[in-house]
Amino acid sequence: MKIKCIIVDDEPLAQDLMSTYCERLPHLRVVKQCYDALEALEWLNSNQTDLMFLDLNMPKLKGFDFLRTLQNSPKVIVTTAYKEHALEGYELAIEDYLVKPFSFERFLKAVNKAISTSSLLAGKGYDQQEGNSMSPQRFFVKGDKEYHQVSLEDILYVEARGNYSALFLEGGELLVHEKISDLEELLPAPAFMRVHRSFIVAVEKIKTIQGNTITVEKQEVPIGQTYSNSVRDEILKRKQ
Amino acid sequence: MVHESDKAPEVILKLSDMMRYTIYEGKKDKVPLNEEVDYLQCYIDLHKIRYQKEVYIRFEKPKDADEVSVAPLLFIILLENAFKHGVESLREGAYIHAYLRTYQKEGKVVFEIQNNFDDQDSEGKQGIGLENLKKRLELLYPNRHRLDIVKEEGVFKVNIELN
Repeated sequence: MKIKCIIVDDEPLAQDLMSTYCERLPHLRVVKQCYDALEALEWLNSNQTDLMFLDLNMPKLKGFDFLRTLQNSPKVIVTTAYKEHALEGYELAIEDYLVKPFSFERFLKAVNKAISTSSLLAGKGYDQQEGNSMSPQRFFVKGDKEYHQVSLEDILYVEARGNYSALFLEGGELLVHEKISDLEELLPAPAFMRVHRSFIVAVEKIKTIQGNTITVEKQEVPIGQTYSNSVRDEILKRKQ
Repeated sequence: MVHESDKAPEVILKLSDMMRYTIYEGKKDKVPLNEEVDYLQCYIDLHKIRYQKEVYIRFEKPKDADEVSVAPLLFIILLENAFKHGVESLREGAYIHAYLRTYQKEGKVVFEIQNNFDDQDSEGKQGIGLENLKKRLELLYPNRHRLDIVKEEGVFKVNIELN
């Protein structure tokens, strides 16, 4: 299932760049490009989208004023040359705020943030059912050259490799261009836990904990000294 | 470049020309008027590619611009304002009409620029650009200039006369 998004920006160059960025992510589909907020308003009256990239400085109707008029706003990532409106943005519950010019990596981070805070990928029907809040979630990470989509439920554990990290998945190993500290932010607690300076473990996948060693599948993961108390408190307490 | 474009080399060249001009020519007391004209034209060309909507821009230049000199970077302020407060505020039908004329016998240079804008736009406060321009004119052309600003019914018009 693809995430539908629209781009609202009055500059064609910005539109081009945004659609190029979106094309690089196979699960993102640009369904509409609007050149001002009024056009977007009209389009949203009879269509819907999951995600909206929104420029602020546009003719007639400015981005935030437009946002205030929306009843059922999609997730919003602001793209603007002005950093001074960021605070106002957070009052309007936007997902992220990108200051032009921004890199693809920064864009990717924003998209990941937007899709991980929701069940965008889980399908509309699931949203209403409280019991299903553990719906599968995914995010994109940069590998060697390409971007991989990773499902949270496939992750066994993560090992730091300097500026890179190795993701150990159900299907194999993946070396990604993210520091472990960045991944720690991306992987939600309490399902994931930092157990060592160099390791994050998916709590659900743990087989055994013995002394300072956790076994996941057939692999052994060490527990760091500074983490051992919290591991015991969090995991063992929970298991009872 | 994040995104390859056939326009990129040309745009970067224009941009670097403009930056060079503001740094090296901007600190001189006087520059040939034709250099100032090129600078304004560069600015217009760069802005044209930014918009999806159609923008009508007319810029009338004097033929003898190489024989006259003026203080640098005065007119650009008005051109920047016309884009920022005029063109960017309108969804369609935005225009800028500018003309630069020389009267060599009288030793006079006249620049006039006129643009439409969205007068429902709430931001009514006057920016620092015009304030700055007034002060610079007073220092550079004391008692030898006129600056007329007219704002009515969605049209903004400024006329500068330098003696």
